[in-house]
Parts: sequence; structure tokens; C-alpha cells
Amino acid sequence: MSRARTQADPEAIDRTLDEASIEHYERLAAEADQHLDKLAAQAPLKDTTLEYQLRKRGVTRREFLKMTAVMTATMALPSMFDLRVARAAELATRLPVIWQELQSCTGNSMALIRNSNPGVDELILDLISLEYAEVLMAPSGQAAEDVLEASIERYRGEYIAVFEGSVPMADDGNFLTIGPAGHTGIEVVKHVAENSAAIIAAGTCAAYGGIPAARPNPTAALGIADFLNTQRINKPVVNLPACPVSSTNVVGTILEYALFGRLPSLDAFGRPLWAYGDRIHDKCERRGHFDAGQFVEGWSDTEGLKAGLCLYKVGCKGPMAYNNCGVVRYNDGTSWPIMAGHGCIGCSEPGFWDTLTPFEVPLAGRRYPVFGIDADADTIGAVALGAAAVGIVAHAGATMVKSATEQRAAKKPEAKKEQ
Amino acid sequence: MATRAVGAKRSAVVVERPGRPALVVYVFGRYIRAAHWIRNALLIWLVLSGIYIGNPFLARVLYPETAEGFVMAQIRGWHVAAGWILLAFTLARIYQFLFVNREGKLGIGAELRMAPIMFSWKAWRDQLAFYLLMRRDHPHFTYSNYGPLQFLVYTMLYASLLVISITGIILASPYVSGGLASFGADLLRPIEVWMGGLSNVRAVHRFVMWFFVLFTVAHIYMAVWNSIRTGGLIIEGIVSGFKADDVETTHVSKEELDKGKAQ
Ligand code: SF4
Repeated sequence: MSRARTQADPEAIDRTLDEASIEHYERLAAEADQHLDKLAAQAPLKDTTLEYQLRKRGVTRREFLKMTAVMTATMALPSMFDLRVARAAELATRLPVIWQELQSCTGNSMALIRNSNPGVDELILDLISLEYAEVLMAPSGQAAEDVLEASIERYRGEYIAVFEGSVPMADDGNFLTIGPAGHTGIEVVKHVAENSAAIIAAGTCAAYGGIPAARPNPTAALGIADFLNTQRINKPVVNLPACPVSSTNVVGTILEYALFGRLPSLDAFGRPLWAYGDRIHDKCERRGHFDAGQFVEGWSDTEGLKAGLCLYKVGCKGPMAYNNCGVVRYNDGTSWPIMAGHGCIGCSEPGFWDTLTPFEVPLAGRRYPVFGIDADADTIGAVALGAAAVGIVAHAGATMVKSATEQRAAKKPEAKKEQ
Repeated sequence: MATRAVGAKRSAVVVERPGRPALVVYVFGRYIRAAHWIRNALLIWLVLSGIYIGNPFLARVLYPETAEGFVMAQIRGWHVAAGWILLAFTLARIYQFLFVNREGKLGIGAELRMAPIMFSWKAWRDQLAFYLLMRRDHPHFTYSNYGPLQFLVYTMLYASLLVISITGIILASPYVSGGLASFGADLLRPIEVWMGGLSNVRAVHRFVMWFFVLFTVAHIYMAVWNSIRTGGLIIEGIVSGFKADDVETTHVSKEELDKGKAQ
């Protein structure tokens, strides 16, 4: 489709799509319009507007539209949604969000606010009505607690709860207490989750327990979805794992909620398909070298490192990890681990700290505790093979001795007869 | 020891062996022998290429330029292709085990009916005594081609073939869009989730590979050992199809014997 057409007719549908897809997207668009109208009818929750935020940052409307178009593509929507996503961003002021820290390092919040060159992600974070976020808010102690209570009261059943960090279950949850009253993580999550409309688990700890849940998991940490299951709280949860989660994926999910009023379609591990539908490996700029069998041989292989060869042999876990880092990258699309020269550690996979370590060797080097020793699969196999070889030699030897005795025993009576 | 193969053409001949006369019987049909060696070749390739995929040990200087040869992609591709062929053989064999009866027709599998051997204490004692050199003669089981140990190990072998195929399909599917692997992986998704992601799937794939390596070593030793110890022409059997058995203990019928003698 030509550029001119797009500008002349923003509703035009990409002609490369087939009939069924066009129908599908038109249905989606109608759904989006309906929900956006509903949002528009609500009173804004914040006294800021998109105009004001854009002006404050010196972002022109044109730049803003470019950013939302990129966002639309990232969310795997066709260009007919460009303006709708822009509108959703404008209306995001009407979406109350509560951001709750749990057992975490606040790295996800940091990744969101530490953009040196604030783009659409931060803009939208400023726009959405972040009612409560410990890391960002001015009040602390009892005052913060009051804000939380007031927000929950005011937006009961309407707000999006974003959790960051895992829920420790051991010792009645006392590994994590929050606020002046010393509420445990268990109590806080139950309270915030029960009254929410939908839940976003931001970061691997919130999604799957992450590093706190790594063996031997001393705090008995659980991800949000698993925790809610144990409490029989039934709320839609979308997992946005990664360490930290990229701001694009958080904002995209919130925008999708603003756009359609529901959470995106998820994969088997509860992750949005538009962000986690492909592996790191499938979107990796070094993939050509992987297929060609050209690998960085070790950390002293400067030649290979400079040539940008595949990092598989220095432990890249991209083939096992689903995420879109290679596309959206971090820090305003500046770079991402594999681009910087270190393999993927698969931080968006459940249990990655146990199942994808050691990080610097291929997965065949994964270690298992056997008889108090850590050994990889091939060592275990080779030892078993050695044991089998010893057994075979012993058995063959025993058989030879036995046959010899049998033959002598068979000969003896004959010898006696001859005498 | 197997003295008759399901569906194999039968003929028998008596030969004089020093000590005791033996009956040489045609037990392994053409298909069984071919399948045995094809699977053997596939397994060797799969193990070697699998080790390469897990840790590509060849130095990159051996390869052509990136644009001219995709070594890893080729090895992966042929690994997956061999896997599919092995799965086809496996499914055919499992079908035969479960549903092909003694007459070679559809029914309750003849070999399935031999399963009680696994639960016979006497059979276990006899077979283990033989392998532990505590009795001279190979035990004969009238209702089963297999001893209990064999039955157990072969069942494990086919279970492992299924496990490695399932994990293989899950691992292969992200590399292709659409096709059989994707279709299979979609069906197998609950298993992937239950196992906890691709990493664990790959770990299981690797461990099961080691089971095949161990099985092969043990299998070859047992066959050679049995062949020498019983004079049963077992190694010969999987090449030519003929195996030897003691005349008194075999359950070849009178007519078949006479037919063999006449030849
Ligand atoms: S660097 Fe990692 S993700 Fe990229 S091609 Fe190599 S193995 Fe795959």
C-alpha cells in the first residue's frame, strides 16, 4: 500500500491481507471504537492531557503519531489501528492503575522510568492514572497506605493491578511486610487483586516467582497467577516476564486494555502472543550465523565476537526463550543483550534461574545434583556408560571362567572311563 | 529368546551341533530385519547429530562462507527428518505389538498377550539365573517369545522412543511455521507446559538419548553373549533371519519339522 493512500485514507485496509483477515480486523476495529467511545464518555481521572504532556516534552503531534504507529506494529495490529492506538493513548488518562511492589528489586519500575530519552512508553505512563506506585509517589508510610485504600475504594472492580515481584508464602508470608501496619505480601496481593478488573504481572518474579523462587526457594515464593490459584481468586492475569520487562510490553498491554477493554490473547504460559509469540532466537540478528554454524568459540575469541557471530556456544539461551527483545530492545530501542555481545539468559522463561543455568555454556551443560555432586547430562550418561562397560567386562570374564569349569567338568567323567 | 516372529514365513531345518542337535528356524522376516538395521542407522545418526546440535564442536574454519552453506541448519534439518522416519517405524512397531495377532491379522496383539511374563516370578528367576551363570540352559517360555527382562527393556525402549519423539516435536516446532511439527506441538502443548518450558523438554530429550546409547551397548553385548552361550545363531539371525534352538524345547510343530527335514 502506498504511503499517500495511508495518509489520505487512514481507514484503508492493507490490500495484502486476505478477506478473512480483513473481516477479522474490521470486527476488532469496531470493538475498539466501541470501547474507546465508552472510555471517552467517562470523566478523566487526571488533570493532565495529552496536549500538555506533549508540549512539556517538546514532542510534536507528528512525532507522537509515529511513536504510536510503531506501537501498533509491535502489538501486531495492522496500520488501520494507528489512529485508534493514538486515541487509546489519549484516553489512557481514564484508566486507573495501581502498581504494587512485592518481593522484588524494583528493576522493572527502574527500567520504565530510567529512559534517558523519554518516548511513547514514558509518555503513556505519565498519562495513565497511576493511582499508587511506591517507587514513584511522594507520600510514604501511613499516607501512602491511605492513598492505596482510597484508590481501591474509589475504583473498585475497575482498576488494573500491576504487580512487581513474587509473593513469599513461607513463615505465613512474613518474609515480606509492607507499610506501617506490616501487612504481609499475601494480604496485600489478596486485597489488591480481589478488587481489580485485571492483573498484570510485570517481570519474571511476578509472573513465575523468578529469582526468589529459584531452588531451594527459601521464602517459598510464588508468581501472582500461582498465588491467586492457591487463594482461589479468579481474575484475568497477563504475565509480562523478563528481567526487567521492557517498558514497551507493559505499555502495549495497558494500551491494548484501553483499546479493547480486555487483556490480549495469551500463550500457554500466560504471556501476550503479540510480544511472546516468537523466540529470541527467531528474531535475533545473529541467527544467520547460527544456521551457518559460525559461533563465538569462547570469551577470548575476539575475532568471532567482533564479527558478531552467534553466541550459542558461549551459552545463549535464545533458542529456549520467548520474548520480543530483539525487536523492541531496551532503553528506547538502543540495544539489547545479544546486540551488546552476551547471550540471552532466557529471563522470560518460567524457572529460568534453575532450568537455563549455567548461563555461559550451552544447555547441554546444565547441571543436576546426583549423589551430592553437580554433573551435567553427558557426564551422567558417560559415567553410566562406563559402569555398563565395567559390568560387561566383569560378566564376560565370569562367563569365561564358568565355561572353562563346565568344560572341565564335562571332560572329567570321560577321562575316568578311559582309565 | 524369540523363537517365532509374528507374520514371518516359517521353515525349519535340523542341524547337528556338537553336543546337542539344533533346529534352525526362520524367525525374522525381511521387514523385521530391514527395520532393525534402518532404525539402528537412524539412531546412530540421531545421536551424533544431536550431540552436535547440543554443542556444535566443529570449528567454524571448516565451514564455507555464511551465505554458501548453512551447516547447523542442514544438520538440524536432517536430524529432524531422521526423527520423523524413526517415529514412523516406532508407530508401525507399536501398532504391530498392540493389534497384530498370531495369525498376522487385526486383533489383540500377539506380543501384548505375552505381557504376563513380566509378572511371573518363576520366569524372572529362571532368566536371571541364566544370565547370572547359575543355570546352563536358556529358559524356555511356552507362552512368550521374550523373557521377562527382555519384555521389560523393550517396553521401556518403545516408551523412550515415544518420549524422545514427543520432546523432539516440541523442540522442532518453533523452527518452522505450520506443518506437521507445529500441528503436533499444538497438540502436545499441555505436555510442554507440564514439563515447564523448552529448557526442560530439551533436558529430557538429552537424557533419553543416553538411554538409547546405554541400551545399544547392553543390547549388543547380550546378543553376542547369548549367541556364544546358547549357540543360538542370534547375531546371525538378525542378518539372515535364521536362528537356532534346541530341538526338544522348541515349540515348532511336528509338520513344520517334517517339512524342514524333507528339504
Ligand atoms: S545469538 Fe542466541 S538467539 Fe541469536 S542466533 Fe545465536 S543462539 Fe540464537
